[in-house]
Amino acid sequence: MTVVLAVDDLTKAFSGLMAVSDLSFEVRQGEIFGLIGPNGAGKTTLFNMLTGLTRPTAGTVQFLGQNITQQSPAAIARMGMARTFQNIRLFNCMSVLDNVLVPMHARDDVSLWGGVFGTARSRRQEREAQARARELVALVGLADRAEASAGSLPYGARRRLEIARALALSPKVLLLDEPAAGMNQTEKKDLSGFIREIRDRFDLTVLLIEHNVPMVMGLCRSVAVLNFGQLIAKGAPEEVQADPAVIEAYLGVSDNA
Amino acid sequence: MSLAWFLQNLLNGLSIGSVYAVFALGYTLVFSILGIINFAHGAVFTLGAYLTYVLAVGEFGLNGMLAGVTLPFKLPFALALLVGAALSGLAGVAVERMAFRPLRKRGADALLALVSSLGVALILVNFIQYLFGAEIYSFPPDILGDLPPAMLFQVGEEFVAVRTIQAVLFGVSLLMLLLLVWFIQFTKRGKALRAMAENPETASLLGINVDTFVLGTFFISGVLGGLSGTLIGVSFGLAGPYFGVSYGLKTLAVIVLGGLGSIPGAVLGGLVIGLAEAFLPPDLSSFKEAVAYALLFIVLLVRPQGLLGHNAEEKV
Repeated sequence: MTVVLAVDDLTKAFSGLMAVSDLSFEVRQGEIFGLIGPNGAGKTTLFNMLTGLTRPTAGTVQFLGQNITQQSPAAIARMGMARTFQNIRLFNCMSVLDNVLVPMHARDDVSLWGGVFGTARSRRQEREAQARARELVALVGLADRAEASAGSLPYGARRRLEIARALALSPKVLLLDEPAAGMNQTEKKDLSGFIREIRDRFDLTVLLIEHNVPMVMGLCRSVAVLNFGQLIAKGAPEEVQADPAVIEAYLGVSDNA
Repeated sequence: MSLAWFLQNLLNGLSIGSVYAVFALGYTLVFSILGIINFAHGAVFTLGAYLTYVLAVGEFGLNGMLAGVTLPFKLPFALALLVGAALSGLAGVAVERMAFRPLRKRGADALLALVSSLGVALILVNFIQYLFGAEIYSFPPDILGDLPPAMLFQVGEEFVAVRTIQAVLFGVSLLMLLLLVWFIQFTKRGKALRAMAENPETASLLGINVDTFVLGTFFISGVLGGLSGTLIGVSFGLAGPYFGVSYGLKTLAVIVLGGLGSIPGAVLGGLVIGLAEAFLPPDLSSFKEAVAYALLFIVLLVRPQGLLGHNAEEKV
């Protein structure tokens, strides 16, 4: 299996405070890779560095064999890195469908001229984009709300729409930041199934930040555990769960027994 | 207070108000995506008026550095207006590069951009004064070619005069408004702009090149500024290099009155202030400049968010 994402000695210091330090790991094609750790462990900072929002203090990120450490967020997104947010960030003033169309339009290559004057090529691209956007909206069960404003959707639907919008980038890697937050048990189970389904259907590699341990254990074949910005364990879920350092980080007990 | 009197003032108010609206939209667009008032907008307004003047008349006046210089050509007014507006758009781009981008890149406080844009405004105005002199420029009366200066319509016993200039002001402004609304609501780039106005960071994570769109926005804003400067200039003359600054201040009242960051608000605010000025009794006309702010304070007492302003959410 090829390595899609390689993080090497990645470090981020915020005015002296180490949010992430010397982090290294690899994610392989088709994996659902779990990232767990207590609050403030540096998981979201890591996502921000992977997507180019935050410049690392040191270290590199390789995406599809290319060093993207100094790339802009837009360039990284266009290469195929998509994400969702812990606190959902939709374009609330726009319709459900338009939310999904935004990343598609950002990627298409119609010239300003073609866009303004409606050349045959731009019209064909637009038809295809519309059709794909409707497909994605239907995939997350929002077909009948396509024209509604994103701000008017209930919480669960907003989470799903954010995933549909990320998929509209045709990503190779999908970063999900606590997608199950605020969901009940049934919804969490459905979400797990859905993540597997889109991974298979779109040939994705998924990085998943999640607090819900059963969900991570069920979905991921490898898991990395962060604590205070450091990688304290990495491996298969069962191994990681049994790791004393992990138990200490989560339960706050010292293992001098 | 006859019907003709009412119609005449309504006409005067709508034509000048529509230009205020176009000018105000230049502020609104930049505010929508960056959350900053671009104080150089008034200077771009002046620049547009002077550039169009030179392109259409071919002369540089008597006092400035370029006094006595004549251009080898004179453009027809409509073409000079377009070229002047396009050059103003480029000036808008230059303003972004000089005053806004460096501060944005280091994540500086929005207040600093306010100061730097004011600085760019002063530099630009002084530059215009250096080149063109401080005198008053007036477009020649035949600037619109062979069109009659006005048409008279009889209303009852009286007449209402539709000046050709007024019709041009209103027509050009309306066209710009429609184009802008079409662009923002119905084109892909307009959608991307709306996405950026709502959250630039999220937009960038979806592949939108934020810097390009910021530049584009400043270009459009500059076009709107230069165009409205020309329209005011052709109607009332170019009263020295600072004339855009005073219109710029008045138009700040327009956008706050209408609701900061709201496009319909900027249009409504422009029309309201244009009409209020037109209906001001003649013996109070020396207080015309205060009308906009007097109205602003009255509106803010009743609706602190402006006529069509939202509390925060919706922009562009």
